[in-house]
Amino acid sequence: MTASVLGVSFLGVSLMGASVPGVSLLEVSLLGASVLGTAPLWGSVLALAVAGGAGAVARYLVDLWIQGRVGSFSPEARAVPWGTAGVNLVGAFLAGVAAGAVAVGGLSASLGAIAGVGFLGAFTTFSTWMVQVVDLAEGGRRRLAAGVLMGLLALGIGAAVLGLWIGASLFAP
Amino acid sequence: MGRDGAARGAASPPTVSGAAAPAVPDLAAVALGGALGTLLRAGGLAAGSWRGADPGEGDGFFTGALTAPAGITLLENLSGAAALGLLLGALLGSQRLARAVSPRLKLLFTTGLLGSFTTFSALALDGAVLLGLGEVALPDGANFIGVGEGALPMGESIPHAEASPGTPGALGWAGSAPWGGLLLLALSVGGGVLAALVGLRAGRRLGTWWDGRGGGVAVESP
Repeated sequence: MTASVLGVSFLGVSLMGASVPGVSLLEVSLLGASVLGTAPLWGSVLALAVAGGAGAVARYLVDLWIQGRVGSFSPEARAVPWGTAGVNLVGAFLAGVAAGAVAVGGLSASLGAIAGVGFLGAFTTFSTWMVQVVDLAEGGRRRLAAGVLMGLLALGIGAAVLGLWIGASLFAP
Repeated sequence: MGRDGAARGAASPPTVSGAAAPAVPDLAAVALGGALGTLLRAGGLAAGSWRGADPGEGDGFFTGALTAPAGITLLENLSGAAALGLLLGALLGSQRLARAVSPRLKLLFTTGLLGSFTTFSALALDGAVLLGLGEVALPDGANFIGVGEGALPMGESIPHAEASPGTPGALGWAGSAPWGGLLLLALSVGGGVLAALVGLRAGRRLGTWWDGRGGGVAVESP
């Protein structure tokens, strides 16, 4: 089921707005194909694309900025991917803020999705983190790799929880 | 290989501080890749959550993307990590390929596309909520739509995450907090490392094999 769901084209099934619980995947796809070009969908797609592009550029720049600042660290400390850790922690925190705001009704689901799924989803990254962990381990720094792996995970969850709490408090209507 | 492979383009000259000064075309490449990666990720989320969508609930595309099962993000993250490993491994293993792919194109696919296709913020948020920490952070009566994708069916409020009758299946464990949270986190980091490792090694092998097929001619020459 998983594979088939994921295998369906983006444009086909992304039209959740028009879908009805219980209809078959095929029907949703056909429905999607028939509504291609409707304004609300393309508005959503465009908003997510712009937010995602901006998030990726922001990640690139912040990562460069952070990595440009670690030159004075010891070789061991320089091996830590500070840039990836930084963007991921900040992004997890802000995603918590946005989600907390949506949860208490202080932010619309649409804006929450543009900020959370679009910008912050692209601002943070999983693949680079994983490749960097494997890179550290293959380079013989196994303990550091394990620390980067588990440390960033734990801190990220903490940042998300803190963000939820702050977002719900700040944006409570 | 160094982190240069994953996070940096070599198109810009290094500055005094050692950081590359980003060039506008590089930023455009990252933006294009980021937009594509984000749309692919959001499309997967929407596809994975279609059964939970309620036509009466505002903009269904957004709520669909927000309430997708956490397993969709997991699958996207794992496949993205494997793909990034494969790509970087192939570039490391094959000098022919490394010469053929410009730094800017590499930036588009690595930092832009695959960096944005995968995400950390949704993982952290999903993990927090599925571990039950969302109930700690949010006030009573808060609506979990949009918090921890797929933790709750549409329209239901906290505190206790329950899988709706219509949404179990392969990814339905999202509702069984906190085990769902622990499972998500274990599968994410364990599977992510494995995916990146296998991808890197397979990519290197593919790369060297591809160079070997070229008869080794011109490997050293510019």
